[in-house]
Amino acid sequence: MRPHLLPALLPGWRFFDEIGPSPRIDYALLPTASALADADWQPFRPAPLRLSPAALLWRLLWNPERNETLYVLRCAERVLEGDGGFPIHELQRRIDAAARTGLLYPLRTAPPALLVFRVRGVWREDKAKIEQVAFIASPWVPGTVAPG
Amino acid sequence: MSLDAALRLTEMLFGWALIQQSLEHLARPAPARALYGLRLLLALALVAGFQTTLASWGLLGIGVRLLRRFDGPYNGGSDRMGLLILLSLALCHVAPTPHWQEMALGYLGVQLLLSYAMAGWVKAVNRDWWNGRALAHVFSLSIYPQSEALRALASHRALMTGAGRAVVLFELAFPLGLLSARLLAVMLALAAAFHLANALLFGLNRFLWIWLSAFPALWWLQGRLFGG
Repeated sequence: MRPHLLPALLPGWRFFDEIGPSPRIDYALLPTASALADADWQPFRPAPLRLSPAALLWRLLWNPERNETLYVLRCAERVLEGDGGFPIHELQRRIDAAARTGLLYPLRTAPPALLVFRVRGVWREDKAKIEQVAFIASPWVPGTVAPG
Repeated sequence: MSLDAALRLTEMLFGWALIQQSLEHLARPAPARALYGLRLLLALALVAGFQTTLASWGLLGIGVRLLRRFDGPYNGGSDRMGLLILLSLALCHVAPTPHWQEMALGYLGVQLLLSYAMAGWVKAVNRDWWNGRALAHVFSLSIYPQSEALRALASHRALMTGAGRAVVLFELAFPLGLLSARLLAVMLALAAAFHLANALLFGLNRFLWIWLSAFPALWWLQGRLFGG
């Protein structure tokens, strides 16, 4: 805990000091583990296409999903930074919880055999947009990850 | 503003910010629901002025426990500022003399000042913040825009350059507010507008409420050091 407590009490306040790769999280439903190479990756918790001015104002007071998304994306950012511990487990917990609540596929249908996620980094070099997969999780049976 | 008034106003504003955050957590199937429920009750006590010493120390304990649960701050800078506010409030309540109360609240005021000055400095030494590339990156590729439609703003080069420079200059100039109460009022109004824009564009609503709740400490500090 100490490594996190000290920066919290003596913050550096270095907001947006450098422009690094931006994280993206994708998930895929798989019939078998061998289908990973042909996985149909879908973005996890994508931002809405458009928000009305009224919705933007309401979100000043009430924005729980957005704040959860920012937390999940921060976990993905830590994966990009090379942290292979807590953030990977947390991402798996959150994605598994999303599957259990019907956010990834309809609950009435037969569940997929396996669920998997990956983390990509996106950045720009000159004017070209570069994307690189930084991490692919081991596929797991949906609904079997213990909530934190 | 007296020390007592600044302390009470900070408690009320910060308590509101924690109520808002706690309700957001309780509305989601999030972990640590019991902790957020307890935090909601203690935040209500803080707003009401009921058992504020117990409430602030209890909230500080919950904040540290949540740091451990999420392996760091849940929402980055807003959680860090929240912990600083809690630490200042908690220490104010157990300070043996008014002098140490002033030191505790003064620390919060200094940290608020640094939050702008440091953020401005690290941007000022990055030329991408002067040529518009940094802000264009924030809009085009970063995780922050609340909707995909907002990413289109990145293509307005003049807007990105102008807004980027304005942010750097405002953050760097913020400490000048210490020189007079009138100047500080202008700086705090600009800061509130800045946080409002961040909340609307990037969904950082927690930053808005948390940073606003630290304003009374700086207002008091300015008067204490420079007499208004």
